[in-house]
This record gives sequence, C-alpha cells and structure tokens, in this order.
Amino acid sequence: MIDVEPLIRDRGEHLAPTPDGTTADWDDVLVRAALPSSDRATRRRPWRLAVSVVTAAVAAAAVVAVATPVGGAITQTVRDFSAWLRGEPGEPVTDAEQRTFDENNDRSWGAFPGSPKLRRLIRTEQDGVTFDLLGFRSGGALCIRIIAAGEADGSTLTCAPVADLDQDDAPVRVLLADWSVGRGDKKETIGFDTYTSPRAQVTAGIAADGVEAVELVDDQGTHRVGTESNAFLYVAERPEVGQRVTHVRAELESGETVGVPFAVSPWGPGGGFGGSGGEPGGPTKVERVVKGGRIGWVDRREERGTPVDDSITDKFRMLSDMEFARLLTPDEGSSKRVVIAVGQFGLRPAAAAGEMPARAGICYWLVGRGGLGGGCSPPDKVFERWPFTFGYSVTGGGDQFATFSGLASDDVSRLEIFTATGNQIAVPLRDNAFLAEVSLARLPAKMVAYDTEGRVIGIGETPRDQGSGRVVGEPVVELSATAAGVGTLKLKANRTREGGECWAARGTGDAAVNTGSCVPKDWQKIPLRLATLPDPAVFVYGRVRGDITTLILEFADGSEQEIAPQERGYVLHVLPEAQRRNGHELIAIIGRAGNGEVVARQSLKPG
Amino acid sequence: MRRRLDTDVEKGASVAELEALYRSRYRNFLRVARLISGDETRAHDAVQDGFAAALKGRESYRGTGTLEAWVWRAVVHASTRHRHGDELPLADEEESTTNGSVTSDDRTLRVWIAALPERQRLAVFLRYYADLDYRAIASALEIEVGTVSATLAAAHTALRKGLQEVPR
Repeated sequence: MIDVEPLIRDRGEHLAPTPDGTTADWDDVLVRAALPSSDRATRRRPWRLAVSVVTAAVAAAAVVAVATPVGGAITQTVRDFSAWLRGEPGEPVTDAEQRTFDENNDRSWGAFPGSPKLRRLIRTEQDGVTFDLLGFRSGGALCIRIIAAGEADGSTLTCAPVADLDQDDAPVRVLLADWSVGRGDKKETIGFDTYTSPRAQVTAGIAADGVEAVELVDDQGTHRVGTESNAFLYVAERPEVGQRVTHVRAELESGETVGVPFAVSPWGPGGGFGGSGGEPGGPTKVERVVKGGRIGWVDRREERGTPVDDSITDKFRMLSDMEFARLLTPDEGSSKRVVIAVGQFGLRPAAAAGEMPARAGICYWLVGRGGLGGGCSPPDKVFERWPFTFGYSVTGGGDQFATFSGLASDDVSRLEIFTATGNQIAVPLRDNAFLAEVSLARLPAKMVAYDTEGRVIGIGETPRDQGSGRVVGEPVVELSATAAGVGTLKLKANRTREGGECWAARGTGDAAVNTGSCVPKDWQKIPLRLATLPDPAVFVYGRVRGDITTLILEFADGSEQEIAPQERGYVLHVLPEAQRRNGHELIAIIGRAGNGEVVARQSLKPG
Repeated sequence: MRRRLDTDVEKGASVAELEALYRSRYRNFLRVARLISGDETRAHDAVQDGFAAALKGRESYRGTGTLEAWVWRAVVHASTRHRHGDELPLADEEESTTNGSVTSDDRTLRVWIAALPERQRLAVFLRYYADLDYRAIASALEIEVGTVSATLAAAHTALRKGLQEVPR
C-alpha cells in the first residue's frame, strides 16, 4: 500500500513552492482594515504618518495635511525634498542641452515659468536603450524628463505640483508609471483585440533625502532600484502585455520600509483610473442654489489675461468664428493656461462650409505642453448645472496627476477640492478660470464652490466605481447575436486581476461598435450598465448587477417585454422587429430583483 | 506564539500580536492562499484581506485555540472568495521535475489533490503546506478535531487509490 503522507510532504516544494515573501505589506493590511491611526501599533518613524500603497483595488489611507511653507526661505532638514525645492538635485546638464531646452520652452504654449535649470539625475542603459532622467523645478512644479535613445527612442515630461508635497509625508513621489518605450515582441489577445507589448516600460519619480532605495512590484516580481540624486528610475525590460507596477515602497536609511501613494497606470479595454477607493470628505449639500451665472468681464469684453496666439486658436476645431478670446493664468506657478473664447462654435470645417449649424457659445480650453482640450456650450448652458464647469484630464500615459480646470461664474468666490485621502486643497481661481493638479492616488474627489458668504453653491464629484484593472485569463462569457439586415454584435467578458470584470463589444453592419467597460470587484453603483445599437435600437447589450434577475423593456408605444439577464448578468438581446421603429422604440429598461422589487431604471431618452 | 489556555482567556488580540504573526508566517499563509485561490496575486489579496478581517474583528478572539489558527480561518475564507471560478490549479501549469525528469507521481498527485472535495483539499493544504496540527486545522475549518482526522484519512485514501490506478 502506498504511503501518501511522505509523498505529499516530499513533493511539497514542487507542487506548492514556498514564496519568497517579498510582497508582505503590513501597512496595506492596516489600510484594508481601515484602522484609525490611534489603533496602529506605535513605531519609530522619521515621518509622522503610516503611508499606504494605493492602487485601484486598495482602500484609501487617512492622510493629514501638513502645513509646510512653500517658497520663501527653505530650511534644509534631514529627509525632506529641499534639494528639489531649491532646484538642486543631481548635476547641471551641458550648456548645449540647457540651450535646447530654453529654446523649446520659449516657443511652447505652456512655457515653464522662471527659466528652469535642467539637472541630470540618472542615466542607465538596458537592453540596448539608454535612459536619461533629467529634472527641474519650475515655479510650483517639480518636473522630470525622460529621454530614451538607442534601439528604441522616445521622450516624455511630467510634473508634480510642489503643493502635493504638503499633502502628506510620503518620502517618495511616483511621477510616471509604466511609460511605454519602443515595441516588444509579446502579443496577447484580450477581448477582440491583440495587444503588443512595448520594448520597455519606465516608472520614475523623486525621493527625499534619507531614502536608500525604492522597491517596485510588478508581474515580473519585486525590483529594487537605488535612489540617485533624489530620484529613482525603474526600467522593466521586455515586459508582458499589460504588465503594470502595482506597489511601490520606499526603503529608508534606517532599514524601515514605507508604502508610497501611487495610482496604477490604466491599461486595456475599459481601463480607467480606479483611484483610492475611498470617499472624499467635505460638504454634501448645496446651501444656496445658483443657476445661470455669468462672467461679467467676458460680457463686457475686458482685456484680462493676455491675447491668444493664432497658433493656439487654429487648433480649436470646435470654434468656427471667434469673436473674443483671452489666455488666462489661474496659477502663476503652473505652465498650464486656460483659454476662454466667445464666438460661433460647431465642428470645423463642416460648420464653416455650412454643412452643420453653428451656434453662439462660450468655449474654454486647457492649454499645456501636452496639447489642449476643452469644449463649448451655449451661453445659457455653461453654468446650468453647477456654477463652474467641472471636469479633469490626464495628459499622457503613466501620468500620476489629474488636472482640474475650467471656468467659474461670478457667483463663485472660492473653490476647494476634497479628496478620498482626506486632503482639502484650495483651488487657484483667477479671472474666473481655475486650475489645480491632484494626484490620481487621491481620487475620487469632490470640488466645492462657495459664495462670498462662505455658503456652498455647487458640488461636483469625480466618478466612482469605475472599475479598472488588468484583464487576465480566458473569457468567462462570450455572446453573439445577429439581426438580419442589421448586423452582428458580439460581447466578450474577462475577469481582472483585481477581482472585477471587463467586457468588450464589437459589432458589424449597422451594429458597428468598438467599446468596452469594467466593473470593480465590489460593484455597488449604477446597477444597470446597458447600451443600445443603432438608433432606433435593435440590440441591447451590457451587464447588470447580480441582484437583478429580470429586465423589463419599455417601448414608446406603451408595450413591454420581459427578458432575463444571461450568464453572469451579461445581456445581449435582439429586439422584436415591431419595436425597431420610431414611435415603438425602446425608451427605458427596468431592472427587478428576484422578489420583484425595482432595483434600478435606465432611461434611454434625453430629458 | 504563546498558546493560550482556556483558564486565562483574554478578550481580543492586539494589533502588535497580529502584526508579529503576519511577519513571521506570511510566507506560509501566502503559500496556502495560492493553492486555494489559484495565483499569487489573488493569494496576496486573500492574505491581506484575511488579516484585515482579523484586525477588524480582533476583539472577538477568545483565546480558545491559537491566534494563528483563528487567523487561518479568515485567510481560508478570503482565499476561497478570491478563487478564480472553478479552477483549482496546484502550482504552475508546467510539469514539476526531479533531476530533469517529470515524475508520474507529481502529475497524479496534482490531479488527485485538485479533485478532492473542498474540505479534504483544504485539510491537506493546511496539514502539509501550513504545518498546522489537527486542533489548528479544526479551528481554521470550523470543524471538530475528530472530523479533521477523518477528513485527512479520507483524503489519503483517495490519493492512494489514485496513485495505485495510474499505469506504471
């Protein structure tokens, strides 16, 4: 008779290898347990706060804002960012390099103020590519520029606001995460698409004095890079498709390791910025309702700010006939600007050719080195919902900061941003234009507008529950449906490493679509995530939350159809032919629970 | 870790005790969590979530059984939640080798452990890969000590049968 016990034990390391344990992270456990700081074990730390590693799947840490003077006299203390604040990390670059930077800066729409001096921080060569990490301080920003040259080329520049150093005590700041360089040779099919890996991915940032090294965890394991000139640079060679750094830790000279706030770079179908997972503080109710505000100086055409260069206005595709425009600087310490313009808007060249109607409106754009972005609205719609235009943008792949920018009506006296990590950030507001940069790791966030008497007159919130994450494994659901004479629609869903799911939809003919979405592991909000194609609808597709067992389709002619979600709550349904024409089209979907209770209703018509 | 006696039951466990347990036994917890959940990333989340649950509920620890066994219960629950569907791989998909040759016992063992009923499989993991005694396994799986003995015996019988049935 076979004695299996020794066999199980002897083959143990082959069947179940003992891991190396380098992913142990007690700080992360404390965060997940959401312990108040008073319950945490006392420990000797050079910094006052335990800092968590924040990813799309990890709950927020409570972080207390620290009042630290910025500007003025900087007193050097041990283990701070003073080298950066004085603009002195590393060594100066060559005169030729500085001259090239100055010339490009002078020509740029979003010039860095203060004639910044470039510093060389780190140079490394890997896999035939040389990576140079340069840095500089410009006004209220600490910036790094990475240049890759050799068998793959590329460059990028990203900045962090100096004000962010005041928001917590983290000794390291990630400024760039998984920036892709070159083209690799690994491929993976996710959903309907085949993705190719880059040749390398770069994660980099700045470090305070007293930081010995930075540990980064990605799919290839844990990597330790020493700090140099108050910065760190990690190059992932030949990464896997969708490989991402998920944890960052700072190793201090004392031997201690602390987690570093960090937002995992999004990737893949439906990938979004999951943020910290917590909830922002701040006011929850509007105390005075204000609608239909104006900007008086624009109405009077006062020449505030500076004129707008033609090289900028030529890029405004939405503006077909500009009557008035000004370039505004809400924050003198930032290289970014806000343009406000008044005129006729409609998509060029169609509007100019009379192919589509142009309408009078107010437009605004955020202008920076990465380009510009914004939009236009009719004058009576700009402040219809809030007394400010609410939105944020992220410049490039791997960027760690979101820029909140836009216009505020004359009713607004000040703006503040409240983050899920407990920060309360005063938003620079000047000439009715605002601009603030907030670390992605601190989202979700809430922007609050106050009037001159301190009353809350507007609250805008960033999306939650977006879900994001790295899609892994084979599809868990594959659906297909065809409507004769219309087309075929397919839906594929995969799990994510973080425990959520993402799905992609691809259609042909009149059902042509290429879209996707994700839900997180703990899906709470928006229980019906359905879309239709084309118009009037023929297909209904998407996903509903697990508690919804029945869907009632309501049509414009008063009729209804009851259907059940398919596997795992996914929906791909072809409507009856009689309900595909105007007057009989689908107008709403109701989701009911098993006990018949209405869980949610999704209206498909505006208004 | 001091074994608590029934006569000196204290209310709750301290954060420091849980931290010490985490740091000293993390690798074991991760090893078993990986066996249950299917991959290292899910396993890490399971261990983290398990310890977080233990932290949040630390005042409910009554001292009957070791603290480690009590925490294992939370980690096993979390690992099961993080498991990828019905997939129950054991280590990686590549064949294990001994001196360059694949052993048929490895393959069979892997297949038969994966095929065990869940309780038997968890008992095997906790016994052989977490080195828990029967009492700790009983606490972790919330069953009687006698049931642990019977469960492991049944698992051994199934594994023995499987190995004997493999053509050699």
